[in-house]
Amino acid sequence: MKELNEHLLNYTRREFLSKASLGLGGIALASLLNPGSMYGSNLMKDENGLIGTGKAPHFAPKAKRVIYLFQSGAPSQFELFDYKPLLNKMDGKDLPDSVRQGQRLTGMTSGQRKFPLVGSRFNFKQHGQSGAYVSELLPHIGGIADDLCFIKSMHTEAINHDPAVTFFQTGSQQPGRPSIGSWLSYGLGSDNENLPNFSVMLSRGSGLKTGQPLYSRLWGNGFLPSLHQGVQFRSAKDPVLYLNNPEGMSSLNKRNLLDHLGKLNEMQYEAMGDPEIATRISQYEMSYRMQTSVPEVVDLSDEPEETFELYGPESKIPGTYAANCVLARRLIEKDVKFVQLYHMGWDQHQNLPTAIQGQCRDVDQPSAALVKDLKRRGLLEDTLVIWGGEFGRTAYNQGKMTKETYGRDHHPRCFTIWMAGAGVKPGMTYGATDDFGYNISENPVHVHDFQATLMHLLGIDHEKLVFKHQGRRFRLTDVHGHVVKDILS
Amino acid sequence: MNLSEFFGRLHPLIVHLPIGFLMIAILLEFYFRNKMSPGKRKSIIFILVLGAVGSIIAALFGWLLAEEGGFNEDTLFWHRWLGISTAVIAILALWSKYKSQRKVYIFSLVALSALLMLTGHFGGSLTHGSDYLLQPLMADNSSVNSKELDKPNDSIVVFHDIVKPFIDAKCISCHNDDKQNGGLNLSTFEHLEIGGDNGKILHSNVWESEFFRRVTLPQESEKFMPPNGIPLTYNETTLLKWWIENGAEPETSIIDSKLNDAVKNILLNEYNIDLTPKPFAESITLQALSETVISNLENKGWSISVVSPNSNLLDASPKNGVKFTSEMLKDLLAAKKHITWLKLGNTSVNNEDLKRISQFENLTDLRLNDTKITDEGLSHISKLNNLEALNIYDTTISDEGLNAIKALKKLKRIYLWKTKVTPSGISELQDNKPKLTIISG
Ligand code: HEC
Repeated sequence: MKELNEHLLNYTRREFLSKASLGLGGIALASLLNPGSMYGSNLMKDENGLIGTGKAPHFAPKAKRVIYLFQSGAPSQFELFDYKPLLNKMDGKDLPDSVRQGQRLTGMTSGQRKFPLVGSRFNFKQHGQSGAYVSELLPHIGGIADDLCFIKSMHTEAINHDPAVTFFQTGSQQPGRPSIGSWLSYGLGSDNENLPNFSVMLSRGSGLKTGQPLYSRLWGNGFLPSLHQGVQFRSAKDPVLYLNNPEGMSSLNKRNLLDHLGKLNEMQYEAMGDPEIATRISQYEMSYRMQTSVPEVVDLSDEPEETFELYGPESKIPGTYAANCVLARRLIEKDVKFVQLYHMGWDQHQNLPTAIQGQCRDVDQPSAALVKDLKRRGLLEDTLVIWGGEFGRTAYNQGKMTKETYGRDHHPRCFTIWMAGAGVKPGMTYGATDDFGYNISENPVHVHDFQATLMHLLGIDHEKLVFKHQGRRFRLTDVHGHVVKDILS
Repeated sequence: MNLSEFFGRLHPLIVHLPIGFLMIAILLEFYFRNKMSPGKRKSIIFILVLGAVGSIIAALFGWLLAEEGGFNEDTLFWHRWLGISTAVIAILALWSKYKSQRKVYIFSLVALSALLMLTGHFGGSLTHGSDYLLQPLMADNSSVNSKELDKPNDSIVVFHDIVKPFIDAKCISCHNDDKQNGGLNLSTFEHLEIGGDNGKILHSNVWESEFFRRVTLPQESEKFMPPNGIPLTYNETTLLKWWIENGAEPETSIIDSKLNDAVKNILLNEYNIDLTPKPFAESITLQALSETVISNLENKGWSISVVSPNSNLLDASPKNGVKFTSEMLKDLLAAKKHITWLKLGNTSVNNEDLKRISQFENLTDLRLNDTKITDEGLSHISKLNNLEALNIYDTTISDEGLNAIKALKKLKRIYLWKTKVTPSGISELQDNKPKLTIISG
């Protein structure tokens, strides 16, 4: 029976179709016997996609862990990092057609008859020895400019939020592929069996309370086995859902239950050979261990007052970006591989100057504190920190424009992100945009290039970490991506 | 005005006419072999006349072109006399056809076919070089990026592996053993060193080097090289300049040459040659530690992993949830040569343990943060000659303890946040070790 089932599982759908002489009836029978076979995943015994079976790293890694501070909604590069004095000089004048050259716009501004340029209402200053320009909205981040590597020439293919975030996280605009953290878990395995390898935290921004929604599929495992999916930490009483024992059940009872359930599952696994059963067994066990490890890690009461001073007053309020940053550091200290934060509320189509101040207040001090904190603890040596959104914003105004207020639409053609830590040159600015900040003028970095570079830092050749699904080998960078070697230290 | 040179240069143009005529004559003869008629015979004779006259003119012009010189003598000899023979045999063919000397005629047609091929082959070798035709078949086109070199950095020779390939691609067709325009042969370093009609083309000052000057002139210039075909790219001229500046040596390897950032980037991006110093772990070779020793250590509470797939050195830390003991460290001595990263942060590691740690000679990264170690204990680690990073934040280490650190020659980073080290202690350490990065929070 076992061999038969394994054989069925190892059949891809295409092979099955081409070989099955029984026709559709045969397929139906196969899927009845063994639901997994319908997904067409080619799960071989030694390539079954369990933790770390992606057989990475391929070379010496510079980074062992990643914190990705995702700024959801797309922060405006013009108010934060990409200093464009020309926009102030030409404030209110139309964007020359020769710059845009008929490139596509979103539905929100394509009806606009005029595209008046709008300069940043906030001043810029050069910081540190590297002389990087950072706006007055981000004094703390400006203060650590010499530890950061700014990439000013990011560009993406998507122009709306959901496809763009999905693209950044999974390498494809269509949902369904594994997220970066899942790929890393698949490729590199876990260094701490007691905590989720891929941890996710969300926070709402004060700039725009009704931010773009985020869906759990953004940290989903796609076609990888489900133990690679991101686990969301919440600020509520149950930081990880369904972890605590139901009322009336003692820990001992739970242990007994798991032992017996585990035996049953093992028998089933013996009989069916379905790797998803093995996944299930290990997840039950992990959730049991997490019953003690998670409350321990999210309990900030053992942090000295000095921590909260560093990360700012909000770091004491659970669920804020600042508190999540403290948590991120605690998870990294415990060797969690990939910690992903999402901070919502950057989508400033109107009323940008006010809204962006709120957002910057949320993230400036904690983001800088996190880098500083990791640095002084020696963790920045092998931890990579990434800060950035899904695309940029337009050089021209959207909606009402006065001296005080204006808005900016989505702009995928150029935007700024920064990275810090393991393997990345500190105090560097890579790439540049033209004087209007509309097009890239130097060293473009595509989202796939970014992903390839991220994987490279972790010792992974992005072309080699693949998973076979539905008869095709998939990878995070699809068929694209070049490592941006110039920013590697 | 030089008429003979002008006519000489018409040779490549003219030469294809008699080839065509003679071929047609041979083919028609073969095609009509059983149904010859007087009309057909006449037209073949007419074509043979054209062929014979054409080949005489071509041979004459060829002689004039050869006067210009710059050709490989051997190849030229064969081409010259085979060409003249072709003209003679073409006349013979015409005569025998006209006189209906069937045997002579057949012989001359067969001879003509052979001569046309041979003469043509030598002619092609003269203009394009002898390996021109077969080169696309010989070249290994399998790798996607043909510029990538599959050898270790220290055996990459700048001239042979970097410079020569683009000379071969872009200059060799006019400067080879067979054809030496300007009297210059670029096929080997020895020839290149000799130079051309105007003497040496290499000079210790790159700007006075004819080789570099000719490829960096404005492209409209008559003297620009190559006069036609694909010019050198900016990266190629940068590499050429780099090679000449480094003394234009034939054998110097890439790691013995002085590098600048521009060259480093080109080598990295175009040739995939990474010249950043290798991590220590990859620079030393060591037999892999046996599986049994590793699994034994794992059973004793250690989490062990290789630091890189290209190395047998190991990264060790107590497993999550395992309480570190001095006993564990004694066990770890079984791998003392292999451990290069040791993380003992937030453990009960004590001064006695530090004495043992000093035996881990290949240690590069040691984390002792958040522990009870003291200045006295730290003095033991001065024996760790390979240590690059030391993390002792959140300990009671004071200025006194830093004395041990001064002995660590390779130390690059030290973490001193939350210690008793004073600002003056830090500045003294920095004076002692100007390149050390001190992170004090
Ligand atoms: C299409 C044929 C052709 C190619 C290809 C060519 N050359 Fe030349 N080269 C000539 C001719 C013809 C001369 C002689 C006329 C002159 O000096 O300009 C010459 C002369 C030279 C001379 C001067 C030699 C002397 O002593 O006067 C140098 C140096 C030279 N070439 C370098 C190069 C280099 C380097 C390349 C490859 C980038 C190259 N050539 C490619 C045709 C070529």
